[in-house]
Amino acid sequence: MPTIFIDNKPYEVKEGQNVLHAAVSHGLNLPYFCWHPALGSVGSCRQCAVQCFKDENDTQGRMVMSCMTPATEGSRFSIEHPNAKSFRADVIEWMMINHPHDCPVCDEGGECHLQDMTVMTGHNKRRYRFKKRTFKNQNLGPNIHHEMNRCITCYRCVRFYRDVAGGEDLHAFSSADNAYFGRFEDGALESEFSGNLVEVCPTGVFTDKIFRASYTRKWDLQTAPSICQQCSLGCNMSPGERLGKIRRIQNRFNPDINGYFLCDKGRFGHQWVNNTPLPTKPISEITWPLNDDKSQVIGIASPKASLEANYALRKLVGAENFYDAQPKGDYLLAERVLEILEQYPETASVEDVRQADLVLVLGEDLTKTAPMLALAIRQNLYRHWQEKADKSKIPAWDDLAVRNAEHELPDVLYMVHNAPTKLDGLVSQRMSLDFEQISDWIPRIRAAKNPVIIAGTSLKSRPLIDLSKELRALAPQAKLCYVLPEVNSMGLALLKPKSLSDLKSPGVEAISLEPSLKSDVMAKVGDFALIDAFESELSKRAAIAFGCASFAESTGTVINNEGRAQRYYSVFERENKRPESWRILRDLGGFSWQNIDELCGDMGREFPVFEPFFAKAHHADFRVHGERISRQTLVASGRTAVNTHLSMHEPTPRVDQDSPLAYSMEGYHGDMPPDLASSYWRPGWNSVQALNALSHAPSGVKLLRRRSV
Amino acid sequence: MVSLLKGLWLVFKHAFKKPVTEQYPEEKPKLAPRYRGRIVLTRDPDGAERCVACYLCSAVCPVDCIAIQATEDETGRRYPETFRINFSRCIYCGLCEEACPTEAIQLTPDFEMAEYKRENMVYEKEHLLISGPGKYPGYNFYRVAGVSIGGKDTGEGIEEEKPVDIRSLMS
Amino acid sequence: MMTFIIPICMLLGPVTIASLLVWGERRLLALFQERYGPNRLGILGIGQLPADMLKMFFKQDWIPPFADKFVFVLAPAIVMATALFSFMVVPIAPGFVVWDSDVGLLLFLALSALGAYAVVLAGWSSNNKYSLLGGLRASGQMLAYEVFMGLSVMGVAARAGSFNLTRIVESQSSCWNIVPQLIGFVIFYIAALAETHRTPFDLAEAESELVAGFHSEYSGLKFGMFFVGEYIGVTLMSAMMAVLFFGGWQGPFWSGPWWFILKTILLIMSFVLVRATFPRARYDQLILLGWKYLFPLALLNLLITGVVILW
Repeated sequence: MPTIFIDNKPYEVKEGQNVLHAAVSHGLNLPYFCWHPALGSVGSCRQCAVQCFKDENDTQGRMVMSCMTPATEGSRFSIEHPNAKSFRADVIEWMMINHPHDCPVCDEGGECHLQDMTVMTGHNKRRYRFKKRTFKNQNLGPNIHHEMNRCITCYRCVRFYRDVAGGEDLHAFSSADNAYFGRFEDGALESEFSGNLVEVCPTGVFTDKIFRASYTRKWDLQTAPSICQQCSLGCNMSPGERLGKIRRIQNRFNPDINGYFLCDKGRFGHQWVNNTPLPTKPISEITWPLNDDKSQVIGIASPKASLEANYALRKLVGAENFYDAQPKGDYLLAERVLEILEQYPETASVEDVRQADLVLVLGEDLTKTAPMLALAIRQNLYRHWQEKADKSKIPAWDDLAVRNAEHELPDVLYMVHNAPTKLDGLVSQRMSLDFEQISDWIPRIRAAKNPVIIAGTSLKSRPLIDLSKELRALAPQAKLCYVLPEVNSMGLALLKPKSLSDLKSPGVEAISLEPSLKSDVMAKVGDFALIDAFESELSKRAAIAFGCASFAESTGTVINNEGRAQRYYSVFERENKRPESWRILRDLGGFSWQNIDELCGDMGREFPVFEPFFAKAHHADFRVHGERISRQTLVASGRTAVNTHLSMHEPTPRVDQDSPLAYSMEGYHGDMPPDLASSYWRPGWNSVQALNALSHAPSGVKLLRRRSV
Repeated sequence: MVSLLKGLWLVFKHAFKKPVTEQYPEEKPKLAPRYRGRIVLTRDPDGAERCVACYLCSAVCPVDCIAIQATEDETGRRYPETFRINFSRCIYCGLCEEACPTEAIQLTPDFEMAEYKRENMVYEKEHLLISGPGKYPGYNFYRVAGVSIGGKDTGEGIEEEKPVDIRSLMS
Repeated sequence: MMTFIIPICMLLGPVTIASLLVWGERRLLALFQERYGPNRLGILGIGQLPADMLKMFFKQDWIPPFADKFVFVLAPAIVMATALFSFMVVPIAPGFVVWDSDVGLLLFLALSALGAYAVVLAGWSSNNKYSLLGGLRASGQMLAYEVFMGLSVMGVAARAGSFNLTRIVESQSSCWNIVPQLIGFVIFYIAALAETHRTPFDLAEAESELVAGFHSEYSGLKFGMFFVGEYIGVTLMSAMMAVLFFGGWQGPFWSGPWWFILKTILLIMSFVLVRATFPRARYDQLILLGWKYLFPLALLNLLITGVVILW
């Protein structure tokens, strides 16, 4: 850990960090634009200038760009030096020459990096007397809004979109003062990671179009830490709610999984939470249409429902009546995957994929089944290019030279697949699904230092899964990574359900849990009760339909594809609050759990595998300085007027029984336990860039352990 | 002792002076134009709504009595879908007017807004919107902003060049 | 016949004057402060009086659950009772007195001393720290001022040679007691302010420190009794001063009860003037003034009067 001196104060920095990264991660106010922790430094915006000194006797110093200067032991810098300060002020003044007078109508306003940096450098008046340069905007599809006038040409968008995410339809056009970032013609952006442009862009050139339709400022959104429900990777995200509607989703930094980015499915696929809710009645008012003897009723579990809901169902109907709704093939594969992972529990996280020197993909089209893994592979290759360029003494910022330095692809991605995938351009060796020549690859796998073997259930192929196990047996240093169908597939598998295809007595009455059931599954059972959040085909056929809270309104645990247990917290409560599905099942079964911690206590005793997570998860009575953690920001607005058209009485905020978070602006706002932080803010940093000063990040708990034989 | 008697005499003398009280409902007070009374939403010189639903007034409001929901017309002009002020909470501090970047929200010298029902103190947008520009006649935000709206395409605003032709080599 | 009329007059008269004071004091204070005061209801705002009465009647008469209920109810009754009983011995005109007692002056002193209990009991029974503090202050204050209030009028009694108030009035036919007994009057006036806990000696209810002091917990009619009780006290003290120092019903011409009433009203107005002028005294200053200065002064006054009479 080298020590550097900034304004004569010593700071410990990480090995290999540049001065800018070191300064912002210590919470110092040093403005920058083109640097991004995941994109690296290019030194083009000239905003992060600092004065650099030879030693403590050097009073003159020289100006350097902090993002291009490695933080080496004993080096001395000054942020406050008048030279550097006036230089930075000049730079921002140039940038603002053409920046439009848009902030009141700009969606970035209030969480704009450019606003923060302008305030930080003290620029407040445009002295330039000439007209502003303007651009025509493009229609970039249903997700991204384009407002090119606001651009400050930091090039972050194309560096992310082209260099990291591998997109090809976003370009930098024209030159000099007229540089333009867009497509050749109007049209939706093709990359499935285009949504990250919203967060990567330091100002309002790319903004969230779905959010725009019901726009609210960042400070008015009620947020809670949540887990993406779209695939089995369990990316961390924070949905924002106002007035009972989910407005947008933002990335929540988790270095092990999604890092700084989210896929478009996760970021933009949230409006279903605002669908018509399935109404509910108190249990006492419902006449139970099914057999009163609950042991005669089977339970149909769901890999989309939380661990708690599935456990409550299992408790209600008993282990022998606990069935998995997935088709037989999926069910068996999940069972097999679990069996393998109990033998080889060292699963690969997304970060492991980013760092691997060999990635073997067995029959998965990752861009479709687990997009963030595809991005991880792209990031991995980009890292390889840069490492090679380093050897050729090509600086990392010279992107084109970096890519041209090595004409051949890095020997990283090996793929077994028949169909074309979006990763094809990066594959160095390929094999068809019958993998007859797999033995040719074995020496390469054995030679690799940290290879990752990715397989999955999307092709419903048992041989591929078995192949992954065999390869793992041959290469003990390899890590396995299985892509599963749903967000909680792993959690459900750990609860050991039976397959519905094995149901002995068709026509039996059933209780079915939450979404994702295909209607044909229900053909096997007779009358059934359904617990679901929204109206659907199935809810109309059910003998009785219980409306339950969706993931955004409830707290629960999901276990991702690598066996990592993570908790999502309810973001809001609807006006007509619907109980969590486990509360409905509790009432049906007459269990005594008052909150999620009591249920998890029972579950931990019955399934010790979950115990490490429940021991670490924050219980509902967790407090920081005696306070709950606030879901709203300190400046959340309109509290005394939002409901006055309905009633003059201001309701007290509801109390969350299951989590230490409060539905209110009252509560703790300071340095959060990482698992409970859902928005990033510190004084002077209102944009997502505030996360660069985070000292720690959420991790969840990896549950899988080697089964003792 | 003497000073006490002096004090008594002084106060007694005041009994013969003319009261300074203004007899309010009969004599109307003269209020300055910048008096902080009833809040209105004004229109720009073109007669369109000035408010762009930027949420700054609601954010700065110390009693949180302003609730807004933004929306857009088909040309991209942003305006408030709902703009509600709960005057039973308002403290007439004027911070909203100070925060307003478009001079839309203004306080007026009208304080006679007592009601018998609390519900009547809640003013919706149609109650707040007046038909003129209020205290600041000239300003028109959308003419100086960079966004394009109906009737003003990109580059047609005040102090704006025509849009750059990015396919040209001449720049 | 007169045995009925006189007591009824002596009951209704002070109560009427006191209730008029509810409005009158506010008008007077406003006059001294260049305001109008209540002027909306009726002629000169006199309608404020029935309005306030109605309000007082219809307010919830709340007894705090933590209070000592019997004493809580008793306290305001004592205020009214002692003050009204005292009027029994006040002569308005020759022969126009309920009980022309030979110990009239002593009876008055005794009853006004009893009035102190009301405040102490109210403060104590409310079971509230502010009330208790108010009650404690009142007891200390009244103990101190009761003593030299009695002493200050001894000169008057000595001059008249009687405690009979009619006799005292008659003794002033040549010269009002205000002239030979000026010091006695000043001391009595100050003690009267303290006895009725009027500004600057309203420490028992000092609203800026003790909410409302001893009557913090009182509402509705019980509060009204304290409120009107204070004005009855003011009326009583003014009437007593008119009798003791200003020659009662005697005037330079046309002697009669109108002189007595005029003097009483002017004295009541002086109470309001004092309230409009002086800020509240500090408690230690109040006690200091009482024991260290006024008490010896009252004794001195009695001594000199005695010497002069016996000379």
